[in-house]
Amino acid sequence: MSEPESATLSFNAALVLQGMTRGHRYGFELMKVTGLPSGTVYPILARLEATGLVRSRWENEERAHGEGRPRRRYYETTGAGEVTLRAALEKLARQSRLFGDALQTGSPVE
Amino acid sequence: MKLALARWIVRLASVLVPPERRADWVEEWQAELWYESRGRGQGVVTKAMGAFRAAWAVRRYARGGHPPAGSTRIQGMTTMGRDFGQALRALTRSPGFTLVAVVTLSLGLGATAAILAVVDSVLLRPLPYPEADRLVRLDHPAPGYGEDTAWGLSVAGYFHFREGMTSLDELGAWYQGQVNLTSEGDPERLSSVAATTPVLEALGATTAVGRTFVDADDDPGAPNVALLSHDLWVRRFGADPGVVGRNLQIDGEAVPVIGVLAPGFELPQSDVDVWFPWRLDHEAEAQNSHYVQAIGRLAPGADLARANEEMARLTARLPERFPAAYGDAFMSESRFASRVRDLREVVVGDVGAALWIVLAGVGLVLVMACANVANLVLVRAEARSREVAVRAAMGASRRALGRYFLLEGILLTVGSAAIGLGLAALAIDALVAMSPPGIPRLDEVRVSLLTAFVVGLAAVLVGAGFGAFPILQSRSRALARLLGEGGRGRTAGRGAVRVRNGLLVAQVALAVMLLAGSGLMARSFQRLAAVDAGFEPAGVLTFQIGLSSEGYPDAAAVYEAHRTLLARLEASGMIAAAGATDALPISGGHRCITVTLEPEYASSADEAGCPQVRFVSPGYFDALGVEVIEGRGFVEDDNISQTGAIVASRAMADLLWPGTSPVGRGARLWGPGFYRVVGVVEDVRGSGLDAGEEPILYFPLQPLAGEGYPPVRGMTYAVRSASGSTVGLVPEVRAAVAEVDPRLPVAALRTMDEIVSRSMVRTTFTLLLMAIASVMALLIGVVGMYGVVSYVVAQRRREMGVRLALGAAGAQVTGMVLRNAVALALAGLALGLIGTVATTRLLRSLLFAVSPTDPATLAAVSALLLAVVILAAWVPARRAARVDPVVALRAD
Repeated sequence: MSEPESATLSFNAALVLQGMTRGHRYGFELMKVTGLPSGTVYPILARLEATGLVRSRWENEERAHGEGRPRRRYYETTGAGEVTLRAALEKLARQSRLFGDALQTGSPVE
Repeated sequence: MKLALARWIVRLASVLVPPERRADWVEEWQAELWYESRGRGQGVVTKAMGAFRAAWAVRRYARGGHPPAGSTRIQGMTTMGRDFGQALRALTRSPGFTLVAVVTLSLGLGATAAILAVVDSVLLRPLPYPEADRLVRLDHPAPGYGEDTAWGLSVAGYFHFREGMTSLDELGAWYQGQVNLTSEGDPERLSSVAATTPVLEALGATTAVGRTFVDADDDPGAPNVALLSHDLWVRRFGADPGVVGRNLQIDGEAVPVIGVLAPGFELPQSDVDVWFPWRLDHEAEAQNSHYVQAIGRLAPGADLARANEEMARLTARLPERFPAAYGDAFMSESRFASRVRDLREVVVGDVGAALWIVLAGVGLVLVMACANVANLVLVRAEARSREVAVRAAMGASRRALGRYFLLEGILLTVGSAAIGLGLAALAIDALVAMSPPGIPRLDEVRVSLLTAFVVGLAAVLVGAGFGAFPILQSRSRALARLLGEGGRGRTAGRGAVRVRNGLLVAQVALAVMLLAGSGLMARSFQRLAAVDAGFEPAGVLTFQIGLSSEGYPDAAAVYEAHRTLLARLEASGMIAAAGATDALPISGGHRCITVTLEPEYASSADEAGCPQVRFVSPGYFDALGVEVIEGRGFVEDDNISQTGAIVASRAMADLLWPGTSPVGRGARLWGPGFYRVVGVVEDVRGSGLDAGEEPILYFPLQPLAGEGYPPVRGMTYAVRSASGSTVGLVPEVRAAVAEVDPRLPVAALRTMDEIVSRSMVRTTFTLLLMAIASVMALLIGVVGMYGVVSYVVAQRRREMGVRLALGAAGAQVTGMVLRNAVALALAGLALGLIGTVATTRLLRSLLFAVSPTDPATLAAVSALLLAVVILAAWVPARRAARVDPVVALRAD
């Protein structure tokens, strides 16, 4: 698979994708885990889906109805999505070296 | 309950989703809401609100189609549209900032747009005539008789120039007057103009009905005809096209109407009711009487310089061609000159100076508004510095960041500009509605495309400037510092604080300058209003009548009519005194008659030049309240016995007979006999209260026995009310005139107070506009100060918390904030005062009896501004003291 030409996801999109790979698949869960409002997450999901980085599916209907609850729509990354996310994370890792532990400790290096 | 509401919201939002996807989409959302409500269930409704944006996104991506399969270019995600939406959202997320910024900017931009529109329409736009920039006016400055004196052409001179000037394609002549219309309704006095055909041709006149003048109408033998203005046609003849061809009774003569002018066509600077051809006789003897208004059109290829040169050359030849009218003594004494000017320059006059000053004032307000908003942006940028840093770290290129913030800034300013333009349109309507007469072309003012473009451009540039702030702050060193400080909850480093303070100081300085300018003008106005006009305008009503030669064929008849009317007026119980004159003070123009002094008593050459002369009736001085300071005024016997008594004003006495009493001195006009001075009266102000005292020589209505001067047919009457109020005098006056002659129309009924206030119109208007600008500056200053201090206090909550926790009293914290604000204000005040002293000399032309650095005004302005600043900083300062130290310390 070729290296994507540019792996600059918007920061929020990267958050959402990352959340997805960590197993949070439902829209409202992604909201909680990324801290972004619904008005942000869902358009991101729509965008990601439109560009083929993510796909969405209904969960098993019979199981849900059998358990007396409505079925949910879940999202998962596609192969392209995984690649893009990986590239973005690499870039982020390179850049955040500048901060050293600043991100962890919350104070500047000096 | 909340869940139901949330579900309803989602159903509403689903309208946006394309129908084929709708069912699925709604189901997904309802399911998520269900689960949410089962869990902690916090904020279902808030989460549901996001459904709108979600639906919109689905719509966009469903319609837009997919990018090519396999594409991994996510760069396209940061489209302009997305940034736009993000910027909009960011702005709505800080409503306080956005509201203040938008209000401030739209006020500033709106005011600028309004004044720009006025400047554009009045000063820059061409006049409403075809090829108006080729139209010129000719006149003769005569500085020997008065600094600003300028005369029209003489009839002989008009023909002389018309033949000789090759740089003009056309030269037309006109003069204005008044006539009585006595047919088809009540008698009415109409404003009229007699004009040669080239005038209408030069101005590009067209008709709605009938025809305009043709050359044949200008022949001395041709019959008189009338051309009606459109307004008169509608008003008096009900827009009846049948009026063309009918005869009207004008001054007792039957005159056929040949046409009606197109709507909106006017003589420059005058609204005239009816036009007559001016049948000038080329062969008539030349006279030294200059009342011809001349207008011409430059020939192709010619310019003003050439025209002026030609006219000067031709003027120099006048004495050799017409020696009787243009004597050498006259030419050198009057310093007779010639002048060709662009028509627009003549029409606009000196209003230009006032307008540019107001524009400068408004410009200051705009700069203040921008400084204000810049400050807010700066403070807000510091608050968001963390977000900027993280975005940058997450890979947003500097360009993407730049574009994002740029859009935010531009969105803010362009949005405000749009609102501002709307406000400007409203303001212009209001301005025109209360526009005083005397401001030229005000009815033509509109927010033009040019204005909108300039304002829009300014908005974009300013917005880009605002957008640059956060970017400039995201340089790497600042970045680290900001991030670190963000962790400790402090505000930005010293550099940013200095900029912020600098902006506040600048605002205060600008406000000082604006307020000082307005204050000076207000004092001017006050002084102007308190000027002793030399007469008592209160309780005086004026009106005009004209005695035509058809009803009053000779001087005796004219005089008899005036005497009868005056007697009838004085007999009325409501009237304390009545008088008549050929020209009132203040509203009269420069009119002079050559006067010769009796040689043995005069100190200089026997010719006294051309002083101001007025013909007045007995009772005139009483009616106007002009004080007689030596000798006596006029009595009826002066007219009956033709004694040849004249009265001099104080300045005239000093001018013609300095050092001695003028009583008994002689002066003559055209005839051989000398009139004798019998008294001296107080001076009255000339045209406009800010003009100096004009020396005037008063002559009686009846000339010396044996001399004839033409009878004064058009007289302005002044009656002083016995009760002091002019209400109720109008019917009395009309009745008196009707008794003398029921066919005489009464015109121009105005109180003297009205005439006086109209003369101050230019100053009043400018003052009004400056006052509005100042109030806006104050408002913006207050809002700005409040906004910035509030924001900074909010940012420094932590620091306040620490201080309070360490035992500082609330009052100390308040005091600290206030002291900071006051220190800045004082710095701004100092700068502003320096700026004021440097620039108010520009206002000199508008000031009256007030020094541009009047200390009382400056002191008052400083005190006011200081008070305002303290007030604006007070509330946030108090809020600082009420910070709960525990909360502040805990927050990050």
